Amino acid sequence: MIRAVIVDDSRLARLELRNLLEQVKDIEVVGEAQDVDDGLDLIDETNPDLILLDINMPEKDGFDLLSELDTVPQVIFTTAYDQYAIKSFDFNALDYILKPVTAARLEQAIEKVRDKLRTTAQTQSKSDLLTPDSRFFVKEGEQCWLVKMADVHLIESVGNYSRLYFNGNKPMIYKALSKIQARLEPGLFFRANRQQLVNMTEINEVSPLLNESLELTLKNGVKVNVSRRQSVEFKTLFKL
Amino acid sequence: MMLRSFVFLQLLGWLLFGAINFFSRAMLQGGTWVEFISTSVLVIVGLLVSSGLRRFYHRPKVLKLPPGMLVLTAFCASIVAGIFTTLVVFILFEPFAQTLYNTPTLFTVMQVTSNIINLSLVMIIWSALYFAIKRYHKFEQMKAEKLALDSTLKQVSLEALINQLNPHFMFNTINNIRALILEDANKARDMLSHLADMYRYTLNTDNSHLVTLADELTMIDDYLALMEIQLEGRLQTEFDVEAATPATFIPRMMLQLLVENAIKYGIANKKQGGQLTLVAKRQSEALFLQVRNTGKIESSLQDSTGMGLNNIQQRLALLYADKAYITMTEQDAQVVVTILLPWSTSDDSRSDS
Repeated sequence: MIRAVIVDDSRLARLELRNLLEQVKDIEVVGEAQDVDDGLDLIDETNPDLILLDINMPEKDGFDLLSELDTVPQVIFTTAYDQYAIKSFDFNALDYILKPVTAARLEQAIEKVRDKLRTTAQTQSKSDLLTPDSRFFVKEGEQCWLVKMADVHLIESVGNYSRLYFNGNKPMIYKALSKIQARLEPGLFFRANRQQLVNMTEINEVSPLLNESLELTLKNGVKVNVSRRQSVEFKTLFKL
Repeated sequence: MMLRSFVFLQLLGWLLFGAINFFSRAMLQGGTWVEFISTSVLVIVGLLVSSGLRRFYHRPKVLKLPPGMLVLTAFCASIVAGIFTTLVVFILFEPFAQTLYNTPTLFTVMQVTSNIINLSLVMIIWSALYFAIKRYHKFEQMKAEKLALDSTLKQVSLEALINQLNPHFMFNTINNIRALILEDANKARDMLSHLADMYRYTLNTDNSHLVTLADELTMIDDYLALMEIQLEGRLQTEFDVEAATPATFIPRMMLQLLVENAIKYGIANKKQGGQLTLVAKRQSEALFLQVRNTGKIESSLQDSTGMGLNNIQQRLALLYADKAYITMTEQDAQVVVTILLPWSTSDDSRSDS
């Protein structure tokens, strides 16, 4: 059973979706919300597999909702006419349907969701920690990304913010580096120094420096200095 | 070139020529009254002959010449004009040759050729200036025409934009009506009628710029009924329309645009919604229209609403010149847009373009 929630500010739009989803055998609508804050509470409470999410809502929009989630479940955007909003980010990981919603188009979108749930079911750990397959949503200005943890090669602390480096992008998120580290599955990232977390699978080369510390070279050529204390840690970790 | 600006430049040019001629001769030979008279006669003759040149340049045959031929023709015409001017001046002064110049005759080879060369040169310069100025005027005129055309085109596309239903609104409404069919079929039927009426109004089949306030208000009622099923309890409306006002004429879709903006920026984007107030009353010889919504003038939204207001301002200027006003202010936690239009109960003040 796919557990879904609907977030849309129009009651009739929610009614319409609920009605359409009633005809889909393997979907159960576990809740509805009329704005982003209610939606976040609902998602917290019900931990759904799928969000049917309106983009235009009062005060905060659908993208804001996603960027406030630690991990993003499957999402289907429902929108009346927001080509510009949808084009503004690489949405191949997220599907969208246009209002008025037709049963056929909804079924198509749900079929994609079924596929994705099937493939991620095996790799998804049961714990709350972020795995390489965990996805989260980043919004910076007009740009949005749905990022897979495995694609992030470096996370850098900038005060209370952190900068993510992935596929040539480097947006900031409002989360302290230590908070992010606490949420990561052990062995996924390595704390190289006070400022930087390095994706372990992205390390290409390790070279010792004169002062007994280490320098890591990532697959994309970026060099990261490991502090002396963390160098000791790194060596014991890899039994160097 | 306009005749008036030609006459002005022609007089100015020849006076300047006369002045330079007189003073340069005065420097060499002393400024006697003989010099003054001969210069004056020369200026008058030159002025008349060059006016003749203009007539010649205005002949259709000449106007149609290709550029190379035109230059050659103008060159020859200038020389002919130079010769002609010389001869006229000499003939005029010949009877006074003895008294004024102390010579038996002015017609010496030396005098005639040097004057022909000088005056031909003057005529060539005159022709060059004439064509340059004419060219410049034509260029300016083309620029002005292009500007006028641009603004007309802009107006046309503006009208097209104004008369369009916002697609976001359209699709949301249709989606809502789909759901409403399940819940309250009769209400859904009403909503479809509202949508049809609204669409018909935007089609503007009689292409009018002005409509009665009554017609516009009917359209706004349709629109608000449809917005009400989207926003439900979040939208409150209040109308304060004086009895005499519905018969007055206002620009089509203007008030609708203001209502749409008020809802979009003041009510739909607030969780708790807000109130929309519409006022129409007579203020001496003006129609006073006001649309208010709860909220603030938000700087982030000012660009888009500002553009909406700019468009309205442009339309008002086109329809009423400087007799209409629009302002946007913030009063008591409300965004207030006020429009003053000339009071008119017939649409003959329309200025169709």
